[in-house]
Amino acid sequence: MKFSYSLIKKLSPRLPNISKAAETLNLYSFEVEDAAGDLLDIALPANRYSDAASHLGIARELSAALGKPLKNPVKLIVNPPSDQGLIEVEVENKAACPRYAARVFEIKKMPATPLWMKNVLKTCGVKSINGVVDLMNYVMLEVGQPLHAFDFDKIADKRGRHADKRGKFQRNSALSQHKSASIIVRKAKKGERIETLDGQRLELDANDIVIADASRAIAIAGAKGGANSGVDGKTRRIVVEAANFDPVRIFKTSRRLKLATDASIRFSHGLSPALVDFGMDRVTELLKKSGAKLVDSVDVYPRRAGDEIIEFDAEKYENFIGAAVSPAKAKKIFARLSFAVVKARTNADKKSASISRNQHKSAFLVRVPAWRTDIENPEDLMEEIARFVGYNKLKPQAPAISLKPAEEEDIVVFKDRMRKFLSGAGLNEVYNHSFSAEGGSAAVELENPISSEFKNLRQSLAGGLIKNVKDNGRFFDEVRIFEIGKVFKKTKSGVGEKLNLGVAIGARKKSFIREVKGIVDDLLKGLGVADFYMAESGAGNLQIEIDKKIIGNIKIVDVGKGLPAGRQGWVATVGEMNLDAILPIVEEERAFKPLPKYPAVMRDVSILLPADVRIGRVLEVIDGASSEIAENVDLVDEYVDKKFDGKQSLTFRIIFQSEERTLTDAEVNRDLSKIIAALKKSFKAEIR
Amino acid sequence: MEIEKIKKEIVLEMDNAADSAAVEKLRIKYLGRNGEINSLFKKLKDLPVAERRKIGPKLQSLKSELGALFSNRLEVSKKTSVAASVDLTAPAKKVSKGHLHPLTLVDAEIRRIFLGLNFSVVEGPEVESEYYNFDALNVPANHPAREMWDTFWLKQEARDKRPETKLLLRTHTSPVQIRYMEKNNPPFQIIVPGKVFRYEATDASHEVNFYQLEGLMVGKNVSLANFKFVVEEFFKKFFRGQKIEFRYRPGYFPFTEPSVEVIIKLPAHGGALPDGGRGASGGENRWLEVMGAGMVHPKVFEYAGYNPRDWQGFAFGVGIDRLAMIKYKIPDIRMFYSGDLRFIKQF
Repeated sequence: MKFSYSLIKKLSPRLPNISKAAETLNLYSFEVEDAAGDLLDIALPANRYSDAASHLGIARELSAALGKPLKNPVKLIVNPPSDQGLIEVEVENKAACPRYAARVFEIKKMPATPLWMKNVLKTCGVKSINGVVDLMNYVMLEVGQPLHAFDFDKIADKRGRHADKRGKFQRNSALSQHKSASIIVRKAKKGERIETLDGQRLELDANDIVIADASRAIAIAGAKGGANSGVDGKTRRIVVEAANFDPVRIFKTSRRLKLATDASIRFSHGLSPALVDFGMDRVTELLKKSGAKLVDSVDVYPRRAGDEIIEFDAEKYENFIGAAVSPAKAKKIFARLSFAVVKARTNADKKSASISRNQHKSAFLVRVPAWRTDIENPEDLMEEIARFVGYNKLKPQAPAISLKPAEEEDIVVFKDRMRKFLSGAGLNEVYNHSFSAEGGSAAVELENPISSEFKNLRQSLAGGLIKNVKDNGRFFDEVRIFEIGKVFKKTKSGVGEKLNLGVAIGARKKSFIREVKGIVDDLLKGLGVADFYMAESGAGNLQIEIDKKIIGNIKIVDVGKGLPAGRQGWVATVGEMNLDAILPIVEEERAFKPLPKYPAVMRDVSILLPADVRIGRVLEVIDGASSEIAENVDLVDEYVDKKFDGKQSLTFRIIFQSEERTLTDAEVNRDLSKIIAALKKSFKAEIR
Repeated sequence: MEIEKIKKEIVLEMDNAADSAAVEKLRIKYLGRNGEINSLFKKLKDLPVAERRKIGPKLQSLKSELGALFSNRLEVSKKTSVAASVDLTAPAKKVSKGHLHPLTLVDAEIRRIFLGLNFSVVEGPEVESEYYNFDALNVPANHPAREMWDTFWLKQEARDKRPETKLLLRTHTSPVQIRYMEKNNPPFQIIVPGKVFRYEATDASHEVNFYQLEGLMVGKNVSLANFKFVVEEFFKKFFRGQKIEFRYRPGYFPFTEPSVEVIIKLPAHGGALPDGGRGASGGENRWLEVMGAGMVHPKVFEYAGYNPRDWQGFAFGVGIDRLAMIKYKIPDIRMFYSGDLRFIKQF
């Protein structure tokens, strides 16, 4: 929010220069985003609009921080002329409008805006319109209460007299007959239309609040005045409105209609109805100075906003903040903020939740003015003391705690372990966005996606990994990556969120299926998960199963177009597993197995097979034919060659070993010939 | 004859031999046909029978022991000579070790430091309810305070109007404060690292998803001064070897009261800064906003089912991406999510 430093200095003349002031605000109050020339741009927190969205509020913060005197520009007016029959106000919806004050002034002519005021408006980014409107805006900037001026003679009386049948105002005929202006604060009718002062034609709905006369809406409450009732050069009588509106309604209306005005921004954050007095009396004084005459007033204010009485306890403060403050020092700070120290007077005061029954000696009661809407409890009071004493002066203090071993959740430890394993296996870690274009019935869609390629939540890591392989294909001949991250699917009860692990290895025209299988195999075995199975399921797709439940898959995917000439044809082998399914079955217990006492015997078997025989089947046959002395079977060589008639040549290495004795050649050969016989029988294999 | 002494001397000489030729020379000197061991054997026959019986076997075992030592040593020396024949100036061959993502490295470092400060590590869901993300953190609906967090909302077909059932992508890790307090009793201290989401246009310092670290410490006497201690210890360890200056500015978060912002200055930081040089005040461009924090708001304790008159504590939030950017001088947050191995392999 933009402020004019020269106006702030008018309100607290002994303040230092603007850069010192900016520094002071940064240390004790609010973040200053810019301080240059006359401009002080302040990031005002959402809870401080009631007291600090004004030059008076900022001056008060600065003078409290620096101990300088503050000049309040507002002189409260006692007994203004009222009930003169010129103005009537009816508030239909009291919850939406806790207070509505209006005053009628006669002006001889449109006052001129003085240059200094024009400069303040300019610094604050407010356009100068005319003498009356500028004054309204100036007082809002000065004390924080939004104000609006209507042309009195454009507002109908109770019976709707003044307007012709088309709703157009007839000045000459109306002025003399027009005896009173009658204002109604009501809900808008669905579809009701209004043209704003700046020429926007807007359609309202039933949740909006309007200021109306008997025949039509003349302003959108708390946001913008209507064109039909604006002040212009011919205006001779004005109605000044100072009101208070429900922040939620103003917020919703201004959002829907995209009406972020100086008034609607303030009202949306919540202002105290007490501000109305400051705004109205201040503008009255300035109008009078410009020659206007106050002729009537009305103030519909059924429930007065009272001051809060809250306890401050120096002992609790010390325990909460971690440093002592003397009650005297605290009282001094409160006084600078216009908070008064009071004695509990009523039983109601004593019963209040924020006052303890048995008051400490170190405690006293503080009366917080109604316009400090942010101060609700003792912690809020402690904040006021802590920040003006200075956070930077607070000494760091080691906490006293009972020692209890710090722990990481299982999933945190597990992810660490996976990362260590995968990077050890030569894979590089990537982080992808959680969004994807992938649709389907399980897709979790966003209400407000940032782009069409990010319109849903990702259902797997594979999509991101394949894209990573392709993108890196411009710079590398081989890409080895992994990611650990959440994936999302629609479920009956809402959204299912799972932690997945994805691995991808890619290169031009090359599959890494055996390597990815090896990584999955090693990873699961390393976790003590022995009972898993990989089953072919469709072309280029393997399912990883544990206990007949699919926990992941490995697939071979063409990464698609987009790589430069000479680098096309990249293929990614992608493995993905659900870690949530694996974590509960991780076997941490390990037992030592005796080292082999007897030597192992190794035999290689090379066979020629039709090209369509699956290696998995061959392994199954070898497994079925061998006795328990065949310890391990591994594929050590495979190739397809024209000279073999397109058949595949496979070489298996079989390790024979016994825990009880040294194996004899005869024993091993017997087993081997059983295996060979089975291979010949099953596949018509030729032994080479 | 002092057999042991002779053995020691020979082993020492062997150790000092420069190359295999020198070792071979020594072998001939001692074990050769006319070597010193053989001459010792020759001397044996001059000794009395009793002594001969005593020393003979010892000498025999020395001879075989030395034989083994020499052949071992010669084996090693041969290898050394292979090494000597290699051109050591040939370029390094790439070792195929994988690289962890810089955010993983920073996250691990953060957890290590906080574990050392006795903080436990917990996590929470990325899809969150409106209730946990906002309402329970004292951020009411239809309040401009909610505009501090630009939110991704999920499409839901049929649901009731309660904020407990309205789903979004969490905009911060703070909902885990409530989730943790609902299930655990104080005193405790935790950190919560995790992915968070913001509906905003991306640029060098903004991403639609990034990582955040939440901290929460609750007890009978946990104070703001305790917060300053913990956070300063953390940053000093995280930016080891650099002298850090700290500044605290009043802040506003609906879930803390009082709220502060932590700003640090690192002397080593001369270059481009992740926030484009927008500093704390008055043209300073080396002060970096790194953390929002404060004392847990009594209403947050109430939402979590604690009596705010019994417990107090602090909470803080810090961007992990931002810390990584400062630590490694990374100019653009989008690099973390590019999957570009030219970037990742630097870490």
